[in-house]
Amino acid sequence: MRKQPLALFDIFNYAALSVLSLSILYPFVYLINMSLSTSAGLYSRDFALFLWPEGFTVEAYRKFLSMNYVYTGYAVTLFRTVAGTALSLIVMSAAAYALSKKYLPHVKIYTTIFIVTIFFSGGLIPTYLLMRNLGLLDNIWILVLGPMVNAFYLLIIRNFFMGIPEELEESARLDGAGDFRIFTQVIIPLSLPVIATIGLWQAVNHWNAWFDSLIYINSMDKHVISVHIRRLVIEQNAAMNDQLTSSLASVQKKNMPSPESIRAAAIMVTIIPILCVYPFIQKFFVKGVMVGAVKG
Amino acid sequence: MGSVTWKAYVKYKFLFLLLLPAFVYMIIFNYAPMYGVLIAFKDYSFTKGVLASPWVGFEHFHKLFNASTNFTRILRNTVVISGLKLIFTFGGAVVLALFINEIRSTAFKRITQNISYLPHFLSWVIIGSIMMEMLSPSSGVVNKIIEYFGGQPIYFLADKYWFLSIIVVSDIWQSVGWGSIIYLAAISGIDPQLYDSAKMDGAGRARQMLSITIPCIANVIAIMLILQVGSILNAGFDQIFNLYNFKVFEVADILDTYAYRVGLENGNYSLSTAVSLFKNGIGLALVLIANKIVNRMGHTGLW
Repeated sequence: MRKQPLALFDIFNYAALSVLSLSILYPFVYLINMSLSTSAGLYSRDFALFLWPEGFTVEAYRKFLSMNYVYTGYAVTLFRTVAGTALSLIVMSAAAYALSKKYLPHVKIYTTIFIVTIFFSGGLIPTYLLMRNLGLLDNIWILVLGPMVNAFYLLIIRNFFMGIPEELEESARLDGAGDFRIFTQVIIPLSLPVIATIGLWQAVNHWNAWFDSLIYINSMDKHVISVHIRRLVIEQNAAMNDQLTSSLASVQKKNMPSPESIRAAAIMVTIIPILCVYPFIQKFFVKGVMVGAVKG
Repeated sequence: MGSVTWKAYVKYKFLFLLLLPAFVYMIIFNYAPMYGVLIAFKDYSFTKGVLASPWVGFEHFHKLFNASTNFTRILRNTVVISGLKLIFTFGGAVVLALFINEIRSTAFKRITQNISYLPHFLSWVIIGSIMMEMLSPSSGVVNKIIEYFGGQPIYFLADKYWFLSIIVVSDIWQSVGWGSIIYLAAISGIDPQLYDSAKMDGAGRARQMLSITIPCIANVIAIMLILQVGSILNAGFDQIFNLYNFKVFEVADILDTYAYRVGLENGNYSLSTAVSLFKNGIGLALVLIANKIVNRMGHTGLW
């Protein structure tokens, strides 16, 4: 008898979660459909597109990839992701190692100096003025340097280092290893899980970052791809639109993609790399939430 | 004394060498801007620099709190948007965790979790772009569905009555799955014996959820809630900035977007810094209070 309402709840539960999953996935399906549709198909249906594309063409992708600054945009994004993550990991793990040593003179003061930055920052304009005074405006290294040291990430690495038994270092020292070898060949290999996790966080942050590029960079060819996507889709920038409507003019002659398809293709091209690595990195992130929850 | 410290520094020179780059970085990139906050009390001009610009005391704050800047509107929007997200996204994450926990099929559970975490990895430029395309009055699928049922297209992002709903829905879409992780982890830490003895006492699943699961994760919920309240002045710059436009400023303009426009679009550096300082100051106080409350409750908060 008692089973009855529970079975009802189960049905409701499965249904509700399925609806959630589908509503999370549907925007991607919609964008793929839009990006693959032919303009003839779209106009014939007045853009009423629900579950499948109208016609099939990859012209929208071809057109997007031939637009100005798309290649430089991806190059800058890739550069900042690789260089930014690598530099950030080197600098942060080095400092984290020093801060993990309780016997280091004034270690508490140094640690506090880092912690303060988690809770208070100068804000938008003072940071902007600093970058201007440093002569970093319109320099792509600003994208690498800006987010380089994150005190919160640094403390997570430090906490992991603190958990490594001191005896391991001492025995390595007895075997004749110097400070540098102990750090690079004992500590770092043992800490790969946390370094990989923080590295992935930083890599995703870099891949997604756009605001620093928007405010610090002026030259079009130094912007990250997200800024160009923003100009194309969100700002509907005039120069960008001209490139789109020039394709619209040729719609009648050839089977050219409509601006809607090109914008959908642009969004998809930026999402695809994330979709590809997502199955592999997702686990690290879920674990990372727990790492972050353990404070020190 | 000094020479002892000096000797210690020499002894650990390798460690200090490792610390140096990050330390210098912090001083330049994090502490120099904190010094730059002084321009909130000065009439900053670029040619004079921070130091030589004349002091004006609290003039910028007076200007800010003056009715002409719509400061109450901006503060109200910030708190309203944060509050809505607290109710829907934060509350939704707890409910989602409870629902996922009740699923018996591990495959379905895993698939649901993996899908729901996905949008967390997309930036607001991308999500904003997706919203623009789907909500477009001329070609977006949402309006096509409305038209299909005989309705008139709605310009969601330029309509102040719809804008907040869009903000809440897109925030849920992005964060609800990710937010549920911490509660699922807390649930998985509950002693299974509690459920066993409850079953022996004849408790059904609804009873178990109400009497075991929810009380056992109440601590985690309370901590997350307090910390969330502590950051109530962060209404989500990235999201608003990529979705709003001047037609919806009345409901959408928040402290951060206002500071951006005043500072980088109008070039009023001092006023913008005053806005940031107001926000950061109150924000810091709220976080400290929230942390104190969490500690009072017998938990380790942020420190």
